[in-house]
Amino acid sequence: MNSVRVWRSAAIRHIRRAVPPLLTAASVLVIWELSVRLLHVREALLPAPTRIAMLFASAEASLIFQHTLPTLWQAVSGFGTAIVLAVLTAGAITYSRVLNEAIYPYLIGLQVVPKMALAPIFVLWLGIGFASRFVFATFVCFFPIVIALTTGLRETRPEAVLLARSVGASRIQILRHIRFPFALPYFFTGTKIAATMSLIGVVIGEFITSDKGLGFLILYAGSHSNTPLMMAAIVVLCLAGLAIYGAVVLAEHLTRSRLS
Amino acid sequence: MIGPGDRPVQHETEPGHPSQIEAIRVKKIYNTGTSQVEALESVTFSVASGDFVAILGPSGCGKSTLLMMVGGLELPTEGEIRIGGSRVTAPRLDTGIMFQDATLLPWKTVLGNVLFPIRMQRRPIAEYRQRALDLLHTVKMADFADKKPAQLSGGMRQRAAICRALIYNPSLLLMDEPFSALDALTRDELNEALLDLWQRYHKTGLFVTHSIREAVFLSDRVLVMAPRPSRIIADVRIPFPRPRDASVQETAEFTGLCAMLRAKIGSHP
Amino acid sequence: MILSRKANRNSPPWQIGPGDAWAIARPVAMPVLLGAAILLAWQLSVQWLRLPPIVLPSPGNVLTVLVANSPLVMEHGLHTVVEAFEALFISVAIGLSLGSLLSVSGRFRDGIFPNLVLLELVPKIALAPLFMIWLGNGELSRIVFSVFLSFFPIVIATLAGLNATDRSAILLCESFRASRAQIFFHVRFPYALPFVFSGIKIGSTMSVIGIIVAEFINGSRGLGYLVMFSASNMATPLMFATTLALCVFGTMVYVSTAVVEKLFALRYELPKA
Repeated sequence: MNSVRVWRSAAIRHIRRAVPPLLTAASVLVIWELSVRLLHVREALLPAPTRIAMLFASAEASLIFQHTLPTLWQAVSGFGTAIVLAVLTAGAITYSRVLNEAIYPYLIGLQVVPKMALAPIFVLWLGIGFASRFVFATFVCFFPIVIALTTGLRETRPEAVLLARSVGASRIQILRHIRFPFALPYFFTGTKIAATMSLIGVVIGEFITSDKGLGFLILYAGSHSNTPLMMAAIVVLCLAGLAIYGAVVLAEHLTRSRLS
Repeated sequence: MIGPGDRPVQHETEPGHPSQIEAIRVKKIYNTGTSQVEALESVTFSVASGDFVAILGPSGCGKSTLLMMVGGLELPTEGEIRIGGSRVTAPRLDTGIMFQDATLLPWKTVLGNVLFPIRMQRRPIAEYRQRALDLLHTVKMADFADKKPAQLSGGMRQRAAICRALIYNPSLLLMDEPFSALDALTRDELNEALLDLWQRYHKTGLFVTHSIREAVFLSDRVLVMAPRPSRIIADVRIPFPRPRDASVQETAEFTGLCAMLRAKIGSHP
Repeated sequence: MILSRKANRNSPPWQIGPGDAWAIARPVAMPVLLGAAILLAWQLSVQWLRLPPIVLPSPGNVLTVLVANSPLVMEHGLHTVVEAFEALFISVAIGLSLGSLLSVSGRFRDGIFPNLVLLELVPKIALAPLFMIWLGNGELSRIVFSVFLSFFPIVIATLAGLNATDRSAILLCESFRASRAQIFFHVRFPYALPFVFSGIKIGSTMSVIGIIVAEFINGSRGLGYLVMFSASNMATPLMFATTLALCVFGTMVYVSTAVVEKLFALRYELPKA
């Protein structure tokens, strides 16, 4: 059938496009492995990829898993809370002119401030523990989402808004039925940025002070010169980052096919 | 893409001498990875030196592809194109080209843009400066020589683009729907400016358009093309004498010619 | 400008009444009022709840401490900012060259670009301790780590920008036989500048974050170190003050990048990316 053939050729095209980068990555790994072996590099300095992989099969794997959960949980809950807060704030700003004038300049201004610099305030001052890192993750994720969403809500085509007003829609109805759907692509752009930031915020918090989590594990492994463990934790962290980002991309894909 | 400037110069007609175009059984097929698209079935025509020929047709009839091949920016899959007797295999310095978008570099002044090809060909600018100013004067842009493109209207930008195409004195001027992005009034103005310029400098001209009136007003001959398959379906002589002016568009003969061309296009959808 | 309902629209324009004046002043007055209200609430709650400075210092307290310690703060701030700029310059050099090289060779681009995009998404901050194992605790390690964080967005942006040149501009250059190198320097690169600068701005934020985080973990100088130092000594007002200074200094790095972008935009008059 024609549709099957089209789908199959698209899949082939995607696979063909993935080959060169996969080859590059594979060759990097091979060169890494060979140079560590041939040059007899100390494990504490640079472990071979195979050594890192073996770690996942060993007893230390459970340690990694144990510490992955708190980090992931803090990042995801912070990210989720930020989305909710950002949606409410963006809606409030667009609905109320007063709030817009008062708050929007701060959002724009604070965009350029390196918010990671505030990590110690949140993490040390609010206290060691789940709450402070979760709050920091929320703080860090909030800004990109709210700014992107506000831009999207504002840039709704004025003709669409005028049309809705002419058929008697209230401001809230306009917000819900016209502005928010139009703003969805902007929302996803901001959310994708926030997704990468969520883990970064949590990890920085754990670097500063913590007794669990992948950031803590990395520091712990470093202080014991257990570089294989450190790199294994880094790998897991990277995968987690990609997973969160991938979840957002998936959500975007699903909503887009639903709406169009 | 072909045509870097560091290849050895091929045999060309002398700049300034109007040249003859010959296209012999030219065919163009694009391979898009999964399928083939035939952009041009088989096209044969010739243009006498000094003639202004319009290529007229609806979208998808391959007229832009044909122009690109005459200009050496694309190569025919089969057949050949000759200008002044020598084969076209790369862009040549006896050919100047204009596109629908003026594509002026936003950070250069009008004068800088007109002289840009000279810079790229590494010739001394001083020799061409006066020529650039003269060309700008002819299209009534002399006062804008030091302005930037952002300060110009669409019509003015295209005037600057005409000057740029003529700066190195090509004998052949190729134009790909240069005025279709402009509003109707500006378009008429530019048609007259082009006619004026052409009647003064006597180049050979190949002008792609989908406007019947424009084609009849400007040219000596109209090649009518049709899509699917893309080919030339008619070759019509335009009998109006030169020099012409705008009033020729009011004559019954003009309207009749337009109607005839419209019928030809309509019968080959 | 949004006219408030109180303004009298029927009066001639030279009769500006209080309603109109308020309408004009609103866009500035509202955020200022909000900021002032927040600071006031902060100050009052510290006073009324009698919070000790160790728990929550008042805004007045923070400012006093900042002023009192300004030489110290400036000295450390300079270290941080200088290192951030050094890292940024190196990143820009690497980013531009790598981006340009990749744009020229299609094969390299296909093999490397997707990996770069993936690496950009990943939380590279986690590698800070690794760089410390490799390069120690000093300036070199911080700068190299910072370069590692910040050159990715620049490469990606440069590549995107170079590929975004209007096709007709390139065709035009080919028609009067410009060489590939000429097309690159005279057309593709200037057109890519808006994209390149947006990448550099992101890179500047990353370079600051890289230095700061390295100082948090194991620094011996710089504002990040000073924040941690004051925290470990329970000097909360100083911690707040240095954090404020850190935000200001960090923003300055970004702003200087934006200023350079503005200068280039004036010279080249390019459309936004």
